[in-house]
Amino acid sequence: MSDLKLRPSQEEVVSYTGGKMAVAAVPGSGKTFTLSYLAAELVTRLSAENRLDEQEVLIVTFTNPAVNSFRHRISNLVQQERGLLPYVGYRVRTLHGLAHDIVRMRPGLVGLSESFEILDERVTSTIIRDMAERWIRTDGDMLLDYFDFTRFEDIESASRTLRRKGVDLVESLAYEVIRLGKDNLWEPDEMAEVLNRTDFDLPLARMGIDLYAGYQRGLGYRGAVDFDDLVRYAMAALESDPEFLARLRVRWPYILEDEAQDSSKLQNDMLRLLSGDGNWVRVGDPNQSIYTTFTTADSNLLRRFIDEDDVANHPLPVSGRSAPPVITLANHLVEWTGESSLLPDRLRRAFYAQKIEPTAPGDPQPNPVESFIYLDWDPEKNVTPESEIDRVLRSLERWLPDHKDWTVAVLVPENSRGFKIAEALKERDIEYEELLRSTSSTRDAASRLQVVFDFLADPTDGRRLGTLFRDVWWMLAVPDPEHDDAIRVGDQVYRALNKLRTTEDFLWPGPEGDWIDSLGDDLDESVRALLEQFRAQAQFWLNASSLPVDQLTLTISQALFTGQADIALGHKIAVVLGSIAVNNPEYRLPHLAQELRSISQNERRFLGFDDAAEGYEPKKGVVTVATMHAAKGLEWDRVYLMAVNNYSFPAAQPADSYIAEKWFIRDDLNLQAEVHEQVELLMAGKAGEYVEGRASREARIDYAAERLRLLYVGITRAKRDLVITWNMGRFWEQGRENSAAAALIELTGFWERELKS
Amino acid sequence: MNSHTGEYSGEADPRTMLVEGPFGVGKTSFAIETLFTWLSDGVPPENILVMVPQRTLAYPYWEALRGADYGPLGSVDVRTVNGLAKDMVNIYWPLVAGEAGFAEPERGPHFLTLETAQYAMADFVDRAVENGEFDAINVSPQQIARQIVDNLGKAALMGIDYRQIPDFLTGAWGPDRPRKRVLAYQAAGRVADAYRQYCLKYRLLDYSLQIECFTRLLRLPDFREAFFGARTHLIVDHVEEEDALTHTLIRDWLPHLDAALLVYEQDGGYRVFLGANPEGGQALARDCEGVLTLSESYFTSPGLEALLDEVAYSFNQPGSDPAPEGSDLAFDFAFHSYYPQMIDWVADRIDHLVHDQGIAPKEISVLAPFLSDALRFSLGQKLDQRGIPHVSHRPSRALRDEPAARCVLTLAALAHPEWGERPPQADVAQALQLAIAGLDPVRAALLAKVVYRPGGDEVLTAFDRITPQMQARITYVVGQRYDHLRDWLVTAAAERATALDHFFSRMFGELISQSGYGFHDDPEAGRVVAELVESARKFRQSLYSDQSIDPIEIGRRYFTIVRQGLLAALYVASWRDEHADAVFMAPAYTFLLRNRAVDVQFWLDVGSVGWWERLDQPLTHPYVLSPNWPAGRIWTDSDEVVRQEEMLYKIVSGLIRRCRSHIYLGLSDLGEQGYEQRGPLLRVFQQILRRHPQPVEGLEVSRE
Repeated sequence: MSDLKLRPSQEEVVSYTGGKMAVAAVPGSGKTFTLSYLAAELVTRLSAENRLDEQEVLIVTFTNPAVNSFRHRISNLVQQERGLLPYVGYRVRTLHGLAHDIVRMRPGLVGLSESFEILDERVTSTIIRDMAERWIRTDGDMLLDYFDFTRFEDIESASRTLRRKGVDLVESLAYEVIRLGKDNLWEPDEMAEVLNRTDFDLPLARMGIDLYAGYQRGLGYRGAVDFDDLVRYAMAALESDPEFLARLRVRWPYILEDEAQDSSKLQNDMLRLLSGDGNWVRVGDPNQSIYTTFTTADSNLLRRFIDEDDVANHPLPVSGRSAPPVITLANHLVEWTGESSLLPDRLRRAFYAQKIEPTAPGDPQPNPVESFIYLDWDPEKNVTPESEIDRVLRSLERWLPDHKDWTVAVLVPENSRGFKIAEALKERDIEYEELLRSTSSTRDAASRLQVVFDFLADPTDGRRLGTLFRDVWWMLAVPDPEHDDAIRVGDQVYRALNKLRTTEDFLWPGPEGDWIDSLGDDLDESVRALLEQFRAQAQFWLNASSLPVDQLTLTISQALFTGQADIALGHKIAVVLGSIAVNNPEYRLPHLAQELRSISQNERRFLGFDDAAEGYEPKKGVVTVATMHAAKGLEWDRVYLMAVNNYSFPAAQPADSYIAEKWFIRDDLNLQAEVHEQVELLMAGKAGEYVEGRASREARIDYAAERLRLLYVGITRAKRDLVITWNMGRFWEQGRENSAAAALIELTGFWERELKS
Repeated sequence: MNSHTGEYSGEADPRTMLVEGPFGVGKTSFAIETLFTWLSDGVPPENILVMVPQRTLAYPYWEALRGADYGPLGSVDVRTVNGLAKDMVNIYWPLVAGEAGFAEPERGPHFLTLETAQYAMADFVDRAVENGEFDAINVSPQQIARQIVDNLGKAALMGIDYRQIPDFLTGAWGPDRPRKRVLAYQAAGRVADAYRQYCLKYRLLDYSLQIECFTRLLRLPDFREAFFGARTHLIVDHVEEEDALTHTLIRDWLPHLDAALLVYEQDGGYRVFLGANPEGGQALARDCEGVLTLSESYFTSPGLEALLDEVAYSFNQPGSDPAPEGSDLAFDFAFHSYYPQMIDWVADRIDHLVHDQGIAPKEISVLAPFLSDALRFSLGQKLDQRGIPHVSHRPSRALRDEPAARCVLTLAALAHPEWGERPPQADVAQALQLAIAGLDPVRAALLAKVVYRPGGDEVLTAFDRITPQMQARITYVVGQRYDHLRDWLVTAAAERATALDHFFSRMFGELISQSGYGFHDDPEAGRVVAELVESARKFRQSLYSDQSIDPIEIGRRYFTIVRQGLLAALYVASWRDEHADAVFMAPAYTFLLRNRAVDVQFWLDVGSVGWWERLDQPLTHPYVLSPNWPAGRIWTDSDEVVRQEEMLYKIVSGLIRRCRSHIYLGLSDLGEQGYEQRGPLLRVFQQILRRHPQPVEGLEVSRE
């Protein structure tokens, strides 16, 4: 059997035989490994009982890279360790992937046709945007009741702001109600009925429910569903046919759920239903629940599960990832939050009381020993955003040359900050990789296709021809496009093409002669040959441009892509564009190029290919720039946590400000929180209990709690070294400066005391 | 009798006989031999009728008759029952029109195709959708119309009043599931009723009304006498694919015939969605004087027989046993991570089979549950690169996807400013490029940019009115041709009230097929235009024959629905293409009904759930809306699973029987859309691989 060595706490988990089990796992405790191992054990058991023909272990996790990671780990374990067929006897899915499987089995049961389509986010956001625009035009004045008129000179200027900012606001409120409705399986007509029966005036709820109804009709008209509908429909299918449910319960006798701290009510309900409240293993870290804002994730669900009477608890408290000082800091953050009198009572419950324990002697993955902690807070010193970047970069410049074998990351709270860091790293010639947008392969593939589509949409435009040459063809045709000579020739040709006003003289030379000849006799033969090859390729694509768009995309992809994942992505894009073209008969190449632009800018999510095929693997000696959210599940030898101030990490203190509270809205109301509260109370039959402002105040605390957990995630990414910095924010010159986060101040004091002791 | 031998039971010299057996035992050749025996015995060809469930199955008869010297092809009638019904209703219209409730029955009927029927229903559906009557389901209006049209046809085949359909569906839905669905069934019932009244008012006969009228005719003694007396000899091939109503017709017909041969394929009955009733087909044996059972397969090899045993065992077929250990099963399984890798693998394998092993391309078929355009195109290109001819079955490609059709439609829109349609500049550029010989894509884009003024009084500017520099860039030869085209369109625009099909014909004949224009010497484009003409003519004649609507308006409506992709091209000649010496790509189901065996089959997307058809649709149901389903019985999940497994077994065993030598199974872990593939067929082969471990390309498989 296996040579793999498990810790005692891991042994307890993998010896699971049945029933409900909760595994609260601290960061770095080997949770993916343990869960994969358990899955492989259960597959082996099914095989031994000759049940593999009909049954599978079901593993539900959060993201596609996690799905791939589990699949490969389990495949290795069952194939190499146990000699079974790979990919047999288990199924790893995201929640949406699982819901998709279920709905596809019986679409008719929930009123869907066999060929139902899943609309991606670009299409759904267009539907919502259109509705929001219409709503602002017809009923927008209602929102003026929520405006803070002390900030406007007159009603006119308030109306201007309404027109400028209102659509975004209404869109966000519509999303909130749609998400809430779907998570609770409330149909819009049912909500409207309840609303019409109530005596209380809930204007935000009325608006949200109207928009939800319009949105669902928009989907229905297209015979399509959105991502959240998948889960809703799966649940409806299971509930409407007990025999179908029973069949699936037989099919999946064991359900293993990873990242259970990010579970939503619907996920919780669906897995409970599927497991028959039976063999259900939930693994997660309640302290890493960082997706509750703007989603339906609710970390309390896992905590409550842990407390259920019939649930066996087998925590994984031991972690070999980080050096003891990092563990000490992380544990102190949990402890301080739970006990600090500075924090409101509700915020003190931000963390689940579970400490990270270092490994025991002889552990298969012992903690690193060396460590360096630097908390860059000094009450006497103010740090501007620019100087913060400068300090971190100088530190990296000093440190990197001596640590080429180390991995290192700069983690930030928001993407926008990450882009600034990436820019600065580039300027200083420090090698880096960023995880700030969609995966680079998706982005690159879509963006190259988009350049070709742009050109085909108007082949008379010399600039597009030049861009096609420089950004697509040159990169493919020249063995080393980064070589100095290549760059020189490439630039020369690009500039010439870019200026070309009569592209037909190059692309399809007529009686007036060939543009290439006009470049003069001293044109290098190799350059001439390259130009002729480029022309042949461009002509081929132009001739293909009357093909249906899916075939056109495939034709172009064949020349553009060589890697298997890229080719598969090209194929998928072809199918998606084909479907968009069918749904929008008026679309032509410029529109489709726009669609590709959306994909390349990560405005669209692909089900299936929406993330890297494999998880990210940090490279030694190369700086990773990522948000703290994107860093979850990853680890580096050294980690810089930046912008740890009271804007990014508020602690419900009087001076804190909040992203969800708009400056033009009165009384610090967070309208998303207010509409949420109005709808929830309405549907609970308690509309009369609504008190304006209460939900906004609670949302502040929930947000602060999530940000504290985000900081915890950031800290626990570090294996050895940890540096935390802060800055005063962008508006310090206008007198609106941020201070260091309360948690950073506390950790600094604590660490000084630790060092002294 | 003839050269086939088998087990016979019945009277010594049977007048009527049913021949049965699985695929590949020679049933159709037996029927053809019988047909020729009749002819050589002096039966006049026009007294013989050969009935087949669909046109593709007529091919062996046409071929045999073409090769023989029995007069022109048309002498022996080879028909589908629908074609027969339509003809009868057309001829005997006065006998049924009034009784069936048509308005002005003295005027003639108009027959609708599936597409024109959906178009006629569209307004009723749209209104109901806008009223929220279909909020309980999530299906596009086009699909709603399709399902309601389908239900009407099913009601006709069941011999029930179409108004009972909502009750049948409600009964099968059951009382414990969400009530909202019942509201949708009722809404569908209302739409069906409104549409039916509309059809009666305008004498529009869709499939359901054709069948209903034909059934009415069959109840009239005079008609029965004439109909049953018109032919003396009947062959019905593939009775298992026919519906219950046809079986009743055959049963009633048999006593009137001098000779009849019915052909029944065991394990057949693939056209479930079209009402196939295999049990009813087999029951016809009781009405025949003799039954011949053929069993010796001409095709299947021992390795495929063993595979067939394994498949039967996996599906728990009664009396089935697994193949003995060590059997050499004639299949290979290849695993790929990504979909395009699988396509490359197929192309390479076919290359090897054709070029290294000398297998004729026509002996290779590539089958998948769905054949997307992307798959067809990608694989086609790869086979082209390897010099391997290929054809694919294209059941319904939208007309607007044909560049030639798009060109003609765009020019039509330019010539009909009254339509208010302003084609995008890109379409005009493409139309000009295709229509004018010698115009390249860049100059076409340039020309469209400078001459096309969608909002102006003059939609197309004359060539001499553009700047000399631009004229020189576009070239004067092209300019001349463009001017001629423009003049033609302007003249055509001035001659109002021409039917669109006439306009298409004239434009093709007078302009674009002439020398100097793009369709000159291009038979393929000519064929597409001919189809367009035919489609526009049918649209006009069936829906607007009373001439109450201006031809311009009819043209506009036609243009709109083609642009929406609702009209599919009819590939009249496609069955001929499919018999060329070329690799044949098709959906598995289409291949089965093509009734041919090949040496090698490739099954792609083995992991797809598409191998397993979902039976329960939001507004229709092939089993519940059939004569065998007891009204009021709930359709349960086990019904769904049992029927799906039956169907999957039928498909898989049918495919294996249609193979002579070897099957290659291709799986891509992530399918075309990027989803992991874990369908039911994959599970069957995983079981077989566990019983008979063999190397899997792309995976290391070790014995458990």
